[in-house]
Formats: sequence, structure tokens, C-alpha cells
Amino acid sequence: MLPNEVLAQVFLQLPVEDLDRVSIVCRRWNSIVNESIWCQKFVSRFSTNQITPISSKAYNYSWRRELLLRHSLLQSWKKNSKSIDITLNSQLFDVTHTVSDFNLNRVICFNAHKGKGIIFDMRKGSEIQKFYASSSRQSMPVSCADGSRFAFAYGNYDGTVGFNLFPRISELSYQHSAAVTAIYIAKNVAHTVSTGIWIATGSTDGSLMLTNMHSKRTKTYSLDAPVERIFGDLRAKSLHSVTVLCRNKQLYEVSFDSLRLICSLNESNDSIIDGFVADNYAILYSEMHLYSVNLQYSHSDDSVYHAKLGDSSSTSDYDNLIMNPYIKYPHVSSGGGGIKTEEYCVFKSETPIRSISCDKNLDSKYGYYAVATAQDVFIYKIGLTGCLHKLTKEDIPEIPSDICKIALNALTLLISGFNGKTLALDLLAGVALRRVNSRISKSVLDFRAYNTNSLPTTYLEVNPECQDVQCVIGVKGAVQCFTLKGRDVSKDIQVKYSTRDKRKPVLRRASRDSITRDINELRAIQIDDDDAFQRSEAIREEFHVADLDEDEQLRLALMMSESAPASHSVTVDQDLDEDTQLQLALAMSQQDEGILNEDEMIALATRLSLS
Amino acid sequence: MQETVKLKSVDGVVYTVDRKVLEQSVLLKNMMTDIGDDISEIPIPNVQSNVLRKVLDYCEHHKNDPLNAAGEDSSNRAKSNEISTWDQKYLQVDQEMLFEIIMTANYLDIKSLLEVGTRAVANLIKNKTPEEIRKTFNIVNDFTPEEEAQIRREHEWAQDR
Repeated sequence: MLPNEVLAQVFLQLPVEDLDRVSIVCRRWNSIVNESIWCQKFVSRFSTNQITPISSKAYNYSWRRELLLRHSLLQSWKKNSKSIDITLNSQLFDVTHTVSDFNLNRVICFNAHKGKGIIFDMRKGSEIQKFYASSSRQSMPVSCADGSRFAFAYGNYDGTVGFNLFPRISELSYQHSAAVTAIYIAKNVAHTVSTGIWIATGSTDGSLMLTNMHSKRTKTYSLDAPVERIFGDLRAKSLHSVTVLCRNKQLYEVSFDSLRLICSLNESNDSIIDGFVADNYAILYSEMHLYSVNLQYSHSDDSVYHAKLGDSSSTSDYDNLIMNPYIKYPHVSSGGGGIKTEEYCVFKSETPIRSISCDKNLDSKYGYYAVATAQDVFIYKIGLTGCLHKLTKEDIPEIPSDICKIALNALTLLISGFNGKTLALDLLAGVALRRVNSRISKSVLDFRAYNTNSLPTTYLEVNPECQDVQCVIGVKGAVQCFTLKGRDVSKDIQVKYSTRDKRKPVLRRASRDSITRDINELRAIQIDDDDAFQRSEAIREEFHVADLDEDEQLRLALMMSESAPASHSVTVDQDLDEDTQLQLALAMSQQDEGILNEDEMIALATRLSLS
Repeated sequence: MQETVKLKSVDGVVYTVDRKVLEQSVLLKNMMTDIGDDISEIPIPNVQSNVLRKVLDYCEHHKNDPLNAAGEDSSNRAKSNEISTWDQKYLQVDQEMLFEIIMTANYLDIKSLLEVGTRAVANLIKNKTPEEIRKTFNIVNDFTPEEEAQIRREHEWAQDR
């Protein structure tokens, strides 16, 4: 047999998947495929070893993991290499909520005011199904609504909570004694399959109800003030509790087993508008203030997260972050339970805050979020108080009007203006990737007698997985889906961060370069699909009931065969292409040990897979 | 300067080869430069005559390849993972011979041949399950069943295909 150093050269010539497999062959081969080989492989693949790790579990960080993760991301990029740019006529007038299931290329959008919703296939550009968010199957205003891949739920002014399981509209409902004001439906697919779909609803009388739609377990709490918002952690892989914001600005953590007051923000003068919860931080904003509350450190009374008033020019946190990914955030014990509002405030704005968005990718350790006022965009990292970037009007000349919506993932930042223009920026390099004008189909234009086809964005979302960089824009009367590749606009748009050149940590540049290269690689694939746009122009009136697609069934089957005993294992279609299997395997390997109730799961799967 | 050099294999067979041909071997090139014209016969220890003949065939065929570009070239070719038709035919030998060629190329430091050879071995490994790989290379699985199960769990990402 060949000597070790020659074998190492052989292994370096193997594709990533095979390289990972040879370590199973025997002890000697296993010892040859070490971190040094993975590092060399990484360099030969990405031409750099100066990287910012993207794997989330810092303690698990290895070249192998980094390479496999990036490789699979790129693989799925290439797999879905078709460029999309379609406009879907939503017939909803105003799209207030959208649940975009980028894995299945599905957009579920609805208009809460009208109580109607439509499910679209964003790749084919066709409508899959329409639904009404009311028991009488009529267009009725609802007070709040939320949806996930599997289900859609709404709350009404009379206290009714309705629940629909996709793809078949199957009504389940329960009643609050007063108007429903907040609703949250658990979104993580893997976790939902293991625990069953559950929702949380809150009402103006302060009642809060948690219901597992599958096990029918319910729990009701009574809070002191009307419930305003219910948040679920966007970046949690499994979710057992929600964060509840009440009218009196108290923040609770609520699960089926417990209710806990986290803190009270009631010393602030203005009322909280909205926010999100991610990585155990609640990021909330009022008209002029941005708050960051550490939900974990608020556990005991004497340990309170202490954040200084935000200084947007501070960059030291960021530099430390790149140099040392294991940085500890400052926590100061304030002694006693005296929680002051200012301690949570990270940012005081001069002008009203318009929009806020967070990176929802579970595997990215960045955890960036962005806050937009009418003129500026500030980029933060969850848990750090200093602003990482500030984009001002001068940096974004492409959007001459005020900013109305933003969205970001680990690589891309989307900025949408009131003039209907949306600009996609490379988050790290600050280069413009694409500019999109919002548009609605001509039939709607004529019908509504709009004299412009450029309308303010009402909803903006970008694929959190960075795969295929798909984005969804909702405007009045239409939903638009597009990918960033296929058009290279960076030649005619010059956008650069003003702060960019002032500090140049070496590591940071390297990571930016490698990611930019990935994006360039994507852009090299140029396919335009105008047919999809043409097809989407057709408006269909009749209702369709679509079954789960193949991909979805397979996912469920795989998840089940993984965790259920052999007797219940589900046969998996062997004809499936390698990439999908690879992705599934990866997704599953990352799936945390969920609480699997076998019967629940099977029943759920049966219900979902239908006839 | 002499145009040819004699190479002697471990089993005593002597081949007379053009200097230019031998310059593809970094080891021999350095040796020839160091020793100069006095060189009459270079002994190649550990290499059998049949293997040496085979390796010299390769050098003979590739003697006009641009030498200094080999470095850049190789990285490009490595990506495409292709082996030229001539090389493919050349490498249609049994496994033992293939390994001997690779080891000789490694010893004589003939970069392009080492690369082509290792790639040929890599192609034997590609798209095979661990069991198939063991069978191909006559490797005994020296993991205990528990160890193997553990390693398989760690590497399930790559197995499932």
C-alpha cells in the first residue's frame, strides 16, 4: 500500500463527499484524514484559509465542518441554478403577511384585513390554493394572523381563533373571551414534526392560550394587561417557549409549563411597535428607541443585562468578534431587581424607526440584524451594542425616496423604498447586486386604476439559507419573487459603505472576499425565465387543493425513519437525486434531539400526507 | 555536455535516456546539475526495471510539455479531475503496478506523474461505499463494530447517497 504522504495526496484529489467517507475505511485512513487535510482541501476549494466560521456551534468548529457546510450550501445553490423573476397577482390588494417557504419554493401570503390568503408556487409562478381565514368561508377582516409551512392560523375581533392545516383547509377553532390581538404559530419544521404543531394566542383581556393542535394540550394564563405581541425565537432549532409582550410593556417568557416575567420596559416613554426574538435576545423598537433584552441573563433578579447607550461609531466590538469568535459579552450585575429602561436601550434614533430585520439562518453564527430609519440603515449583531455599519443616504443613492422595508440574511441586505425600488446589497462587501422595481400585473393595474406600476413595498423577505438568494417582495395587489443572480448590475450601480475603508482587519477582508467570490460564482450561471412571468399573468379563479409535493413527503418520511423504530420506518424513494439526499442527510444530522412522541409523529405525518 | 544518461534499476537493467527527458524528475535534474558531466550511470534503488521502464515511457511522452507551467497547470487540471487519453491508456495497469509507478514518481519527484497517478487512485475510491473501497484495495477493516458505528454516526453526512 502507498505511504501516508502519498495517500494524503490521493485523498486531496477526492471530492468532498468521498473525502469524508474514506475515514470509515480503516484506522490508518482515518488517521490520515485529519484536520490538516481538511484545511488543505478547504484552501484548494476556496483559495483561502482566512475565514470567518459560518458553522453555528463554535465548540464544534472544524475545517471539516466548515467545508462540508459551505460545500452543501454551494451545492444547493447550483442545484437550483434557475433564475426566478416573477410577479404573482395576489388579488389580495394588500399583502400584510407572508410565509415564504424557500425550501419548497412556496409563498403563502395573506391579507389580514380581508381575511384571505393565497399559496403560490414561486418557481412555477402559479397559484396553488386560495383560502379564507374565516369559518364562514367569506372575506372577513381578521385582527391578526400567522403561518408556517404546515399551517395557518388567524385571530378575530370576536375572540375566535381559527386554524387551518395545509394543504387541506381543515378548520379547528377555539374561543377567547375578548378580541384576539396576537398570534404565533411554531415554525421550525423539524421541531414541529417531533412535537406537533402548536400555537399561542393572546387577547385584549390579558388571557394567553397555548395549544398543541396535535396532542390537544392547552394551557391558559391570565396576564395583567392586554397581550400585544407574541414572538418565537427565530434562530432556535427547537422551541418550547414564546416571548410575550403586553400593553404595559412587560415581557414574559411563556411555555406549556411555566410563565415568567422577564422584565418591564415601562419606564420608556414611547410604546413598543414591533421587534423579534432571536438567539435569546429580544430586539424591540419603539418609534425612536431600539431595545435589546437578554432573555437568558434576566433569569435571576440580581443579574441584569447591562447595555450602554448605543454609540453607532463604535467598532471595537466588531473587531473583537472577528478575531475571537468566543467573545463574552459584558454583563453587569446591578444588585437587586432594579431594572432601568436605559440599560436595555442600544440606540436612540433621530428619526422614526421604519423597519427591522434579522438573519434567520440557523447555521450562520453571524446573527446580524438591521434597523432602518427613513434615511439610514444600521447593521447590528445580536448581543453587541455597537453598530457594525451605518449606511446613509449618500451610500444608497439608488433609493432616492425614504426607506420603507429592509430584509437581510447572512450575505445580502435588501433595502426597499417608498418609490417601489428595491436594492440588493452584498452585506459584507457593500456592493450592489441587483435593483428591482416592484411591479404588479397589468390586469390588476387596469382594474385598480393605478397610474403607476411602482408601489411601496408592504412586505420584504430574503431566503435565510442564502441559497439561491431568493427574495420576496409584497406590494399592493402582487407578490414578486426574484433571485439575485442572472443580472449583473454592479457595473452600473456604485454603492459603497462609507465606513468600509476606515478599518480593514485582515481576517474580515478575507471572509468578505470569499463570500463575494461565492456570489460571483452564482452570478456566472445565467438563465432567465420569462415564461414563468408570462404564466403567472394568468389569473385563476377556481380553488385548487394541492397535495404535499414529493419533496415534502420525502422530508417527513426521512425524519420519521430516522427517529421512529424500525417497524415504523418509511421507505424512501431511492431514485432521489444525490444532492437532495445529501441535503436531507445534512439537515437531519443537524437536527437536535427532539422530544419524539412516536404516535404523535406518525399521526401528524398521516394527517399531512393525506390521500 | 552529454546528451544521454544511463539509469540502472535495482535488478541491474540499464536504460540510456535523454537528459531532457530526465529533467522532469526534480531529483534527477538536481543530481545531474550537481554532478555535472562526470555522471555515467545513476543507480535507482528500490525500483524494478519493469517499473522504471514504465516511468521512463511517461517521461519520454511528456518531454515536450512546458515544465515551468506545470505548477499552475496542475491546479487547473486538478479541478477538472480529468486525465488525458494517453495518460489514461498509460495507467491501464494492475493496481500493484499503479502503486509502484506512483511511489517511483514520488521518489524521483516527477510532479505531473505523481498527480496523474494519485488521481487515478482517487478515481478508484470515488463513489464507493467504505465496504467497496476495502474490497478494491484489500483493506482489512480494523475497527471494532462499536468504533465503526461511532465513526459512521460522525460521518453520516457523507454516507447517505
